Amino acid sequence: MSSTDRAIEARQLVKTYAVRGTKHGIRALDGLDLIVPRGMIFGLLGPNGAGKTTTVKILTSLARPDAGTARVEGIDVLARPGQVRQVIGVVAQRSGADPTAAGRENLILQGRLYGMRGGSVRARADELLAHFGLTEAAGRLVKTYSGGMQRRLDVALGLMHRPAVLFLDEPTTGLDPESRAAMWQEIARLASRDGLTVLLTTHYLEEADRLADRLAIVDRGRVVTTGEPEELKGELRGDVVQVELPADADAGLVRGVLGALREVRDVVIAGRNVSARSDDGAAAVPVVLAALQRAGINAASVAVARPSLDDVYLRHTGRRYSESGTAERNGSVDQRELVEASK
Amino acid sequence: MATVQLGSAPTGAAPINHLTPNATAFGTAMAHTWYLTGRKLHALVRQPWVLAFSVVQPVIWLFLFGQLFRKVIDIPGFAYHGTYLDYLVPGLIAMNAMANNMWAGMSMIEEIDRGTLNRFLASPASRIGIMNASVVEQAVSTTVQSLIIVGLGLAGGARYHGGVAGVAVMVAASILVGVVFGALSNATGMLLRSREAIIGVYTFFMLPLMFLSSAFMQTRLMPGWMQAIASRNPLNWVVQIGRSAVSAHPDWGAIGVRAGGLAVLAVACVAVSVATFRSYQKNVLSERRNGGPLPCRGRGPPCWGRSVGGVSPYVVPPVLVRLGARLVSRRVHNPRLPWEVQRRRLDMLMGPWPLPRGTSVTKKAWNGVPVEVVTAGLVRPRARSGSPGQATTPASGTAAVTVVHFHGGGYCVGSPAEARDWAAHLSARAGCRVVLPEYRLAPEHPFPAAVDDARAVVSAALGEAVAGAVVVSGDSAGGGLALGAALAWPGTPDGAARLAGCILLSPWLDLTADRAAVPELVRRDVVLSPAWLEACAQAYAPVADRAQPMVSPLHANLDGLPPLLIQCGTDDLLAPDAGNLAVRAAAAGVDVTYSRWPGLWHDFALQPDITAAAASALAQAAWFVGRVCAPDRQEGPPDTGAGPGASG
Repeated sequence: MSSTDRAIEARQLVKTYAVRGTKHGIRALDGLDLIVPRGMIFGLLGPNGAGKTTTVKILTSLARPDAGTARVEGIDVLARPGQVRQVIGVVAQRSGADPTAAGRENLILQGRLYGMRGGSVRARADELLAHFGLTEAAGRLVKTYSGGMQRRLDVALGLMHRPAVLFLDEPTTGLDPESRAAMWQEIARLASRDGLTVLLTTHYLEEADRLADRLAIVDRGRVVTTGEPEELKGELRGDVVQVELPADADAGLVRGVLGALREVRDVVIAGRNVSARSDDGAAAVPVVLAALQRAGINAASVAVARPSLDDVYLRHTGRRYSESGTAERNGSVDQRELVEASK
Repeated sequence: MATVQLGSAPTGAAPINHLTPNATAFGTAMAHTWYLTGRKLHALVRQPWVLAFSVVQPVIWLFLFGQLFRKVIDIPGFAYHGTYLDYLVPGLIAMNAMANNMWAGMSMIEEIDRGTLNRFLASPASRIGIMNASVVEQAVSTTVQSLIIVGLGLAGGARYHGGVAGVAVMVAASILVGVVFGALSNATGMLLRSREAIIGVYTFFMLPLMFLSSAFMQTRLMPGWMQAIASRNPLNWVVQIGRSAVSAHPDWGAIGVRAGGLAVLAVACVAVSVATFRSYQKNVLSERRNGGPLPCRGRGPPCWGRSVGGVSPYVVPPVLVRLGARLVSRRVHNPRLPWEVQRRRLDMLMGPWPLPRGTSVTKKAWNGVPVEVVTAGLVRPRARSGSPGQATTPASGTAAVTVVHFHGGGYCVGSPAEARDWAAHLSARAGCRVVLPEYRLAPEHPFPAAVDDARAVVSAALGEAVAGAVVVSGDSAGGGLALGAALAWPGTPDGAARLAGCILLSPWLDLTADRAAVPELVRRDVVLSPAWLEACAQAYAPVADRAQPMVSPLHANLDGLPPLLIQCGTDDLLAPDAGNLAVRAAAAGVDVTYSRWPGLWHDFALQPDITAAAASALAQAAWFVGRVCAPDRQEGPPDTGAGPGASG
């Protein structure tokens, strides 16, 4: 990939925040490297506090790193922040819309700040209002909008000046499931448009898996791995075999039985659910079932699955995603507490 | 839907073609000032009553002081030709301009919190334009307010001999002083990002600056040191400009000098506030301030973000809450007061406590014990089966997770009211329902009445929650009941009903300990006293019974306990109980999470919308409930041995 194909290029970003009570502050970024090719949705996945928002703030010229370099569309963010601001659109975690103004007024002001004038700014605002299904609410004050409408307006604000790169910082956090699904569709649609590069940060595994063409997993201020979701999952050899045990099964016995099998490894037992990895899931299933049966345990169900991003996260950080600080619970994050068996 | 081009064509750098060519920085700043001011004035026009209300205070001063000090004018040496009302109007206009503009930083903080400021800063919006907009808006509202006061003064009998020109000069001077204090307030808001700081600056400067000026009294009647300060007080300059301008013979020379000084000061203050953008940008992580997540390094429990879930605590400085706790608890937890009085005062205090929006509290009876079932309106998160994200409240039928929380109060006082707020926040955050039993209290019902009630409720909860999980919880004395209940339902290998976890907030677990033994701790505790604890223990259980495991569960055999979450502050007479339990439970192989909050007091965790520490404690409790009640975990926790163990 030549450097002209890169929408974003960040090298060795370090950022420390002074926090009372800590001697050296909090190291939010610890040598973060990031390369985002043009024209795709790039996901930045990690738990709360991993450094995603700080990365976005540096790339959008809102914060200055202690060390490192960052370029957006080939422009040095530190040296020419003004130029960078012209080519990026930012949709921050918090709604930046003015609640005491109407949706359309918000858009027009935004356009004017980017130097758009006269009829073109009004035409662009109406175009986006229509696109995001806000035409009817255009004249209403933003404080009367629902959470989903506000979020759509936020995205429209970010797109007002036709940016080359759009930053979406946790665009669906706090949305109800219906609005979240609608927002996903909207973001996926952005991707199909020509030219727009989207940097999406999220702490929802499912969101990253569904939307991102390519993603980087961030943990403690570093990128621990990067690649296409399928590719990352493919790096984990083999399949996941999932067995549901009957209610009276003895977890210790199951662990002993499965631990002795050559066909499966990494046995994880969570309540009645057992998952194990296998090079060839289809071949392992009968062996697992037979072994359990010999021990007097009749499995309630058995399934073979491809590894999930949760498994990818586990491999690169040594922790389950659900244990890693995402205290928020929602429909798309698998919150099972998994306890690893002795290996 | 028509095709809309959302992004620019992928032609590389400089795709923007609609920029005004050759726009100078100055032109841009002026244009942006215009647009951003328009935004602010629009908002002002939409709420004109806000302006009107803000002059209520000076109007009261005008007529109250105007009447009260009518005779001041006759003091020898006051030397003023006119009525006291004439004298007062310029002073009140200056005071109003200062007072109202000192709140400007509040709206700046609101813009920061809302993300609006960041949106502008990430756009090419001119920084000077952003600040100017604030200044112009202040100028407009100051003008309107000043004119209202001028008009009311006229109606009340004040006379302005300087005519329209004099009044215009007076109003212009009030605008200048408004700009000075508005800019300083904005800078304070942006640098400290705390509403309390703005309130502090206001209370610190407002009255001294007002009374160290000639607003109410001629300076020549003041002591010498006051005169010295008044001559350097910009507020006084404004009062003097105004008074001279509306007098019959204005001293234009003096007015010009003072106005020049004010203008220089105003420009300097605006420059300072523009410069604060730079500092803001250096530390733009505003979410981390004001009670943000705790530092999060290394493995272990997650960091608790305040952005999580539905809790957004309005954080009060801990030092104030601490003072409040000390003042209040001496009047409630006082062994010399009859129990009835203590109970009534506690209910008066906690009964009307505001609960989060969407909270529902239902009174029921479980196995004969009155309980309150608290749920906070929420969307059930888990959508494994059935339609995704179906909105149901936990109250409807079989809630997945039930937390039974026993309130504190030394077994003698207290009611579910004390824990309602905590319960509502936990319900919203963890997606559970919280049951608050109203167990019988000593001395009317000594041991074992409370223990019996606790068991009855937990047994009802376990019976009802066939498909769900039950967590017991308690604060202070309730912690003793919760731990007792957890000990009463030890894990059984056949997977019969058992508790998923136990949460203890500042628990009272040992009634035999001598609480006066550590004088340092007695001094630091702002809620409890050894005498009160002893009075409670006496009312609850005779000395002979106090070592019993059901009275002092710290002495029980802790084998087979469900996962424990123990939270306490260090400035708590009962802190040793929490620490001892953590160590003993970890030694017994129990999954223990133990958190201490340095400098926090007894039961601090119960008010998650007051202190950041309590908000983080609540987030931890919600995390704990989620962890121990994850689906398919009813058989009990896998044998992980001790969890994080005792720390700190």
